[in-house]
Amino acid sequence: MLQIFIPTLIFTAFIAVLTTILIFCYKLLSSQKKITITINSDKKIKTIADENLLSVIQQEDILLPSSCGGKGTCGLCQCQISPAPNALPTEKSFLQKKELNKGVRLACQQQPSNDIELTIPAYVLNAKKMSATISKVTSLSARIREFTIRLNDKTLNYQPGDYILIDIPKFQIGKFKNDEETNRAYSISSFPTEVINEIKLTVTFAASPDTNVLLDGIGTTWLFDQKEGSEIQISGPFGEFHLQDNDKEKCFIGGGAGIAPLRSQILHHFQQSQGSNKITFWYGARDAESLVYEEEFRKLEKRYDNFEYFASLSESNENRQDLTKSYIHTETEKYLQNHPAPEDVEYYLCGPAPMIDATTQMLINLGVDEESIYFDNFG
Amino acid sequence: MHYIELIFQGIFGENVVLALFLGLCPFLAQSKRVDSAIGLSGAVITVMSIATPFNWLVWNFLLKPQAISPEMDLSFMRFIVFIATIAALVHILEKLIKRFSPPLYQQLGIYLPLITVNCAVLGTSLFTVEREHSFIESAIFATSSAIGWAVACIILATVRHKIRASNVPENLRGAGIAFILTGLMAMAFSAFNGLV
Ligand SMILES: Cc1cc2nc3c(=O)[nH]c(=O)nc-3n(C[C@H](O)[C@H](O)[C@H](O)COP(=O)(O)OP(=O)(O)OC[C@H]3O[C@@H](n4cnc5c(N)ncnc54)[C@H](O)[C@@H]3O)c2cc1C
Ligand code: FES
Repeated sequence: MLQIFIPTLIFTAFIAVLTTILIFCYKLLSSQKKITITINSDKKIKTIADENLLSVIQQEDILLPSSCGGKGTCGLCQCQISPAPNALPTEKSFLQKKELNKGVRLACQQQPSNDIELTIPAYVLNAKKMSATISKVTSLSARIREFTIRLNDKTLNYQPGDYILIDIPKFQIGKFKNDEETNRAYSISSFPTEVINEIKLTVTFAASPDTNVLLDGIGTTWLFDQKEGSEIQISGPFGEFHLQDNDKEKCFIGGGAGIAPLRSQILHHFQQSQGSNKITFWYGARDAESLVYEEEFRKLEKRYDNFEYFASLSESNENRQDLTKSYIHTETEKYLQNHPAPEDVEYYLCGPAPMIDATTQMLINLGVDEESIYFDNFG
Repeated sequence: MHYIELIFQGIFGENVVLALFLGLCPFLAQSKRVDSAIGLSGAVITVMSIATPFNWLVWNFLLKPQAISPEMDLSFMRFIVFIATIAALVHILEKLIKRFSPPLYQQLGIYLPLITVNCAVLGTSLFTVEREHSFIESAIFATSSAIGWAVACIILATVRHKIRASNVPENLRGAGIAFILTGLMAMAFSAFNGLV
């Protein structure tokens, strides 16, 4: 008996001594160093070194968007840091080279250990939290719905291309359970003068990649369960995906729900000025049913000589002259190969990450400068 | 003279990586870049040269047969106890590096905590015990073994740096060519074997 007992005791005592030493060292070494974070060369925050930057900013009631809980997977929490710290691989996948060089980083991936100067985009400081009511839900296809949202008391001064965040509470719907409060980003698909005090969102249901397991998207499961009249919490507007005001030819390339900000931008553009610069819109969907807002764009095409609309389907073969079966960027590529100067065109891309990546690569291969490519990555 | 022999043996004759093949995983993983190889080498040297003498004390005053009382033999616990001391030391070192050199901390990443399970560190602790080194001998042996590991790692890193510009067959790029290089280096180092 003693032969078991004594070694166990000695080992436990030994580990206890080591743990004590460790705790002591932790106490001694964990820095209580105070640092100052200057925001937009105006506001100064005092905090402890090595704290997560995103949580420091959010404690100051600044609505820096974030929809992944700081895991570095949504890419929304961007801010500019000077002096620029090392960029992590997680950050490199969301930021272009020019942004990285300017010191743009993801706040959730940074733990500043020295004084820093922080530049937070102006739109973040103007964003507000507000409650809103879903006033109308329209099914555009089996997987895509349009939500009309009435703002309860405040107005939303947004620019076409902006997005809002919808708070997703804890919920249980049938077998589907979400036990963490979170939020999701949705682009506004209406344009400012289309509806007063309301905004429209166009949302695709994020179905589980494997029908045998319940892995449907959290946000869309909750949102698709909301009925007309449901109250929701939103914050916004956020975004820098705006149309440049010039008379260059503009080429919009979208896939799936990526149509939302592009619809807002294109319709707003023709609302405001009809300018004579050429505008093309390339839209890729899965099947003919998912070609949302098609009629609207066909009408626009008839009405304005300088607007053209092209659609292609990635998964089904439709017997229609005006549709092709391919990925949309290959169709755009064919057009640009015969274009006299693809490098003089501005590109606005929006959609799922693989589409954005493939399209950006295609454009760069055609000699287009990164500077003339604007995009919103839906992840 | 005896000590110099020990140093030579640690660095060249019984090089932990190239003769005994211990501590291979961080050796291969961290030798992609010279600066991170140097950083990790520094960490390995520190951990090894502190952990081994420390483990020597633990062994001689606690675990060795008859260390505490004539009929007690705790030597069977050496693996688990040695690993525990190494883990604690690595933790402290990790904190120290994080505090005083964040860039190095970022660069070492996961490999720093992984030194805990670096077999080279445990290996040298077990060797000094097996060979009944004195305290000073164990310190010298451990430091020179660690330097041996560092030398091998930095050499491989510089060679891999050179090789980046060469035309390595497609399928051998990365780990493949690193293994071949390690093998060649081991052959070269085996020449030191007969010297001591
Ligand atoms: C700036 C911006 C604007 C946006 N605008 C719009 C918009 O206008 N319209 C729109 O529809 N969307 C938009 N999005 C995307 C939107 O924010 C959500 O990402 C999207 O709706 C999916 O959210 P979710 O919570 O339903 O899915 P999540 O729960 O976030 O899951 C994402 C996907 O992963 C799958 N998944 C989950 N778990 C696993 C697993 N273990 N293995 C494999 N797959 C898994 C899910 O099925 C789902 O398809 C926008 C995003 C951004 C960043
Ligand atoms: S919070 Fe999502 S990337 Fe930082």
